[in-house]
Amino acid sequence: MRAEEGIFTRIIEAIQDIGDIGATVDEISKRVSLERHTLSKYLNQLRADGRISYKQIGRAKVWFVSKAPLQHIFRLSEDEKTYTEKIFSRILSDMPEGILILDFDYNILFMNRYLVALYGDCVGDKFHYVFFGSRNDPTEIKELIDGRVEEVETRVEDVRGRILDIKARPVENPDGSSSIIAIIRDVTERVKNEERIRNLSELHRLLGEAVNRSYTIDQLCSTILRNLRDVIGFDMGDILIYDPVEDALASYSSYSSHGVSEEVKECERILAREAIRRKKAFTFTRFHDSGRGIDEGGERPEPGEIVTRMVEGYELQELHAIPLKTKGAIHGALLIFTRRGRKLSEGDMDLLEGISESIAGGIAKIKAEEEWRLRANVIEISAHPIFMTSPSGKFTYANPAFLRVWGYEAEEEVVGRPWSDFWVNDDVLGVIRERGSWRGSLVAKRRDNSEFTIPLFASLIIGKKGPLQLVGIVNSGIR
Amino acid sequence: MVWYRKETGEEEVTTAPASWRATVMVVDDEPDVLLSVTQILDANNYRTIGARDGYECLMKLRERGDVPDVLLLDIMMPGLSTKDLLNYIESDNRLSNMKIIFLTAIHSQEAEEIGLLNSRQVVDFIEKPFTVRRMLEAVEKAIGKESDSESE
Repeated sequence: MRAEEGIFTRIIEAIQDIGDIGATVDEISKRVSLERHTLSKYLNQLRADGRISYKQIGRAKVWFVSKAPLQHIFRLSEDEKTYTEKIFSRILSDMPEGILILDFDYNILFMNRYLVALYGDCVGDKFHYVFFGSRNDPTEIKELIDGRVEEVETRVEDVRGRILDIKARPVENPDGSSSIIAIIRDVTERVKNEERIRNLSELHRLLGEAVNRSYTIDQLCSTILRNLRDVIGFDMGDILIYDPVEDALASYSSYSSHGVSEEVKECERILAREAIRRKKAFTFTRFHDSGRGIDEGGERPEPGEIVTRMVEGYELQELHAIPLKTKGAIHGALLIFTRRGRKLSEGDMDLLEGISESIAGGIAKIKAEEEWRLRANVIEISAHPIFMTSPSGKFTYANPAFLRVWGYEAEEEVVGRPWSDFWVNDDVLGVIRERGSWRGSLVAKRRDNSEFTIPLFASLIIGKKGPLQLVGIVNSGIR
Repeated sequence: MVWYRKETGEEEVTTAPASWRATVMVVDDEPDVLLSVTQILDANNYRTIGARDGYECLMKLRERGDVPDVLLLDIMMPGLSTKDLLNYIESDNRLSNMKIIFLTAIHSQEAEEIGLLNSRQVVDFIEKPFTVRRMLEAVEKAIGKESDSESE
């Protein structure tokens, strides 16, 4: 008990004696025989403890003994409660969200079972210390206390990283003083789920964008890995691309909170090769604390000393290797490692399988585009004039050699123009359309209308839906 | 030389040239592809039979007295699966000399993965889009004759 407790008791009794109208400092001072200055100090201490409160009337403060709402109900035994109080206390106690009552000095006057389960019974302690471990209130409840707002709705993170939704209002007590009643909900799971869904949507959007925007494989892998980490929170991750011609694996993007050593890279290659060989995902899980691992993929090859050493050295728990495969080919492997104690859920694994298909599809498309760009370059640098037209003979493309031989400077001058602007004989176009291809010498027409004879080979190109284009290759060596 | 064909490629030629280079059955569910390919083959002295899906191909193979030399076959078609059609062809001794060329939008790796390239009768695989030149060469190679389609 504090030394001042005797004085505190006298002050509280004095206020109670004066009655429900409240007591001014002068009135209390006379009854407890303390001078104003000393009394004020004690009054403020009592107020800080939540035992008394005051109401500002003009320039004077009128003091009351705190009669906090709700609080007394829970201090009564069941027998002492009225029927209404019993029902009310049970409802409040069992509510699936937190109910908190504070006085204007942030003292906790009441917390229901929900909050007691989260923070322990902290009645009498300061709200901001219990919830945020802080000397000051980081929420907007001060706005309520200062009377600037009628209600506060805020989302904050507490001292243990929980995300809380707080909705608070002032309530007037029977003695005329005010308290704060707050409804508090732990929304950590919901926020995390929302964030996961947001990240997932973003991941799928990025996958689509990466493929459509002609990202490089490097950009695709790093973008996916970065965003995948936001969704499932792995500790190390890498995407290794397989080159079947060279039988080699290359890392285009990796993430590691540890830094990646040569030994880790070697482990990654071992695991990636295994996933590619099996053509299906497998997981290597550390069990107990022995440093040994167990392969959950159905087959049980020895993981090898080097992999076991990595699991030990980096304190890893799970190594997931997922092949990146499309229907036609395997393009590499996605590797995800988690630190000790962190296991991926089934949902995470489903996500990884789904994402790996999308990554593989993206890689296949990028590879195909790169290959076609290379082939297109061959056409561009070819010494032979090459052109394409629609099946009706309208020019859609001409390579630089064609432009040079026909006397044009830019492709734009040629595209959209008819067959007859470049060739004297229109009948050949009909023959190509009918027979599909044609080879022979033909009289060509230059930009300046001069004519020359040149060997032409032309063929129709047929696509999924029918004739697409006509491609012509001219042998410029024979003039 | 004049002969007629319905737009779908379904009907046979009514007046034939004096000598066909070979008979080719074309199976494709895209009417424009079917029409173009049969017309081009016709123009290159091939006798052609068109079918719009696997069932129609199967019925025509069963009903006809003569056997096509080459079957130009799309892989992705509604109805009877290509695999079932191949199984039927392999089981019918009458068709054992018919050469099959795939004409398809899927990649050869995918076709290999689903076991379509295992048949000894499959001699070529042409991915769409393809040049007519490539197709004619494949047909010529299948029937073992040199091309004469290049000259005017």
